[in-house]
Amino acid sequence: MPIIENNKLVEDLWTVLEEADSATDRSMIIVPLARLEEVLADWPSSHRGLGVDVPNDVDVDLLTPHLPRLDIVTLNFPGFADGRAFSQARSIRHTEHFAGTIRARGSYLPDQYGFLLQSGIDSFEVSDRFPLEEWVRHADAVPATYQRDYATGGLATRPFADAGTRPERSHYG
Amino acid sequence: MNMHVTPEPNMYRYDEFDRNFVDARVAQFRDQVARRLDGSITEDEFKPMRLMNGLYHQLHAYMLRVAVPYGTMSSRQLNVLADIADRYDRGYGHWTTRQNIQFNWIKLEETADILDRLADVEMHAIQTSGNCIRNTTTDAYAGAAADELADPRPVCELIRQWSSLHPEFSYLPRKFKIAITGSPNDRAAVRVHDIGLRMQLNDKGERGWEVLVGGGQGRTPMVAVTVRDWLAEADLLPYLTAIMRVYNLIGRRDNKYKARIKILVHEMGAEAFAAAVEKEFADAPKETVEVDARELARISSYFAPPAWEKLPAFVPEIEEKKLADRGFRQWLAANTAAHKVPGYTIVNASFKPAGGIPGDATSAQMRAVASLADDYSFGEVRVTHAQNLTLAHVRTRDLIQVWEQLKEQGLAEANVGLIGDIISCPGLDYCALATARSIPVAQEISNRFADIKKQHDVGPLKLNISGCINACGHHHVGHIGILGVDKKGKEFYQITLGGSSAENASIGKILGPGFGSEEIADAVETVVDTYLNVREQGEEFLQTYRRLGAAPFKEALYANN
Repeated sequence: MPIIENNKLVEDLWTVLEEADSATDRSMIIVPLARLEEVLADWPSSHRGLGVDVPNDVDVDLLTPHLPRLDIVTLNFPGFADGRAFSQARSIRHTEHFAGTIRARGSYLPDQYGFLLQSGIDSFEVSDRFPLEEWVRHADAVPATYQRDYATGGLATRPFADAGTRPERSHYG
Repeated sequence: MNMHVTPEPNMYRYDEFDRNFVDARVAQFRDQVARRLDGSITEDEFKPMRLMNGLYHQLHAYMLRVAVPYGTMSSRQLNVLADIADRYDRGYGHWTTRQNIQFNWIKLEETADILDRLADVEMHAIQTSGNCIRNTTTDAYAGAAADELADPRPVCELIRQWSSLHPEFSYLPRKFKIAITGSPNDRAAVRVHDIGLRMQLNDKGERGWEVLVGGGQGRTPMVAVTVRDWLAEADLLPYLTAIMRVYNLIGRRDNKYKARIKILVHEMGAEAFAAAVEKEFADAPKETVEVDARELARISSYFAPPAWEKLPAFVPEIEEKKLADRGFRQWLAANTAAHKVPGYTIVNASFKPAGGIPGDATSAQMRAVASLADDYSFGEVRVTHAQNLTLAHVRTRDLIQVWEQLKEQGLAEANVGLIGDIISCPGLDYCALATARSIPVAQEISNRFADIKKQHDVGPLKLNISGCINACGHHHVGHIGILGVDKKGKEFYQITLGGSSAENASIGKILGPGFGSEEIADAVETVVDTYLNVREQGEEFLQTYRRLGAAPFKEALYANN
């Protein structure tokens, strides 16, 4: 499936490991969360190229001890109205400071692309239904955000109050 | 007055950033409508997009719900709402229980133009529907009420901005409603909201908030539980973020009717839920707390008190008029409230005329209230939770002129807070979900109690009507609640008694078997007459019910059957 990163189509370097596949002597693999501990047990600590696929109904705190050894986390959207992975992404990126790739998979729409980016997702497995331009133009369809600490990709945030927008009188507090 | 001047009220005003934000959202929605019309996106995909912009598909037409953030608007904005009613609706608007306005006869193709027109006066329909954080509501008397600690609207605006197009919280399990009160006397129904915030002062006089979670109505009515007795104001947005994240991650999505946060709080237990929130709150970085405080200070400066004059509290001509004119006396008693500044009075315009449709407003009435606001209340108007309008800062000495002008518009029915001040959903006449009509029932009961003297004899009594179990008419918290149900193709109406959305919130209890549409007004009258017979001196309806329970009312209604 096509992958979008940085508003461009890129080659997918990762292989998603199925339940029965062996993880030995592989790299650039994404393993199901259920197999993560087992795979990590045999994974050399110097070795990179491991990722995990996380269902959207699990507590991402489970990942916390393993994040330093992971290069990619994939999150799932079983339907575009199911917004759990927005919070999973935010927790992994912002609370846990994960610096690797967070990839969205499943069913979501270009109209959600901006919110996905702002929540910390930076890689997108998409269907061929919409052309790249359709995704890209939605990145900043609303080119401003009130959520200063979610702003990505040059979105505008409000100038600070002392930059000249503040009226003179204050009677509150 | 000889010359009409439109004053600029002290309320939040957009800066360039806010303007660009709303303009961009309108352009985005225009694009979404175009893509729906050309088939690039399906109706299923378009639905949440249009809902997040306040556009519903009702029985006969589209309905557009326009946000009136925390119920405060300028006369200029109200005039534009009147223009929209004339040009795009049938000359009407409808005040909602969450302090918004909805237009019931809208064409899909015209919605983006309406939104452009709204944007001209800093209004929008962002998040007035959909599974996102809705309009934050508050006390309609905010900034004016004699009993408040402080004006809660700056915090409402802070929350409005924080919740607008929130990247993380726009695809929640279900809709999400926040209400705030700055007064211990709760006129904002905070205990029946997903999150309720009650302003508190600590020993040092610092302001903070009691945080309540998990209230709501609908099929499973619940009163909210307190998860924090006192939260420092600086921590408010990080704490709300923690609540939202816990809900977004583990709120139920398997069943639409179990998806509100109240079910999560109930199933987890309040303590476990609070612990999960506290953990999330402790774990998440809070790098914007400093910025939030500066933002709140910036926002607060817009809500500076208006230029009140130093006036005597006692106005002889008003006292004389009270003695001479019973109608004026009744209107003063029911439709006005105490202002924090001597010589000023809070005035309500009642949109509940005898036999009318609760909350319906004509464009002419909107313009008249806008004009009254300009002349008598600093150009500012509030929408109330009970579907009326409020002029928050009227000089007491102007009350006679204001009363007379409201009377000319049919907006001076002296029934605010009385049985004629019915809250009703649109019911089967408009709504695709309804199982029974509500408006004709409201109209009949309203006619039955058209005698204002009787309403005043009965005293404070909230009557709420919902046309289905989704409870948009808030029947669960009516002192008398009426729920319309469909029973084998016939409309039946159940009566609940003892509900309240105030600081002493409670959920009403079903009294017994329902009544047919031709019997329900009689039944309500029987309930009221029973109360009149058994009440003690000075006792309000709710107090009597709480003292005696359902027994005397059951006896009166069902004894002969």
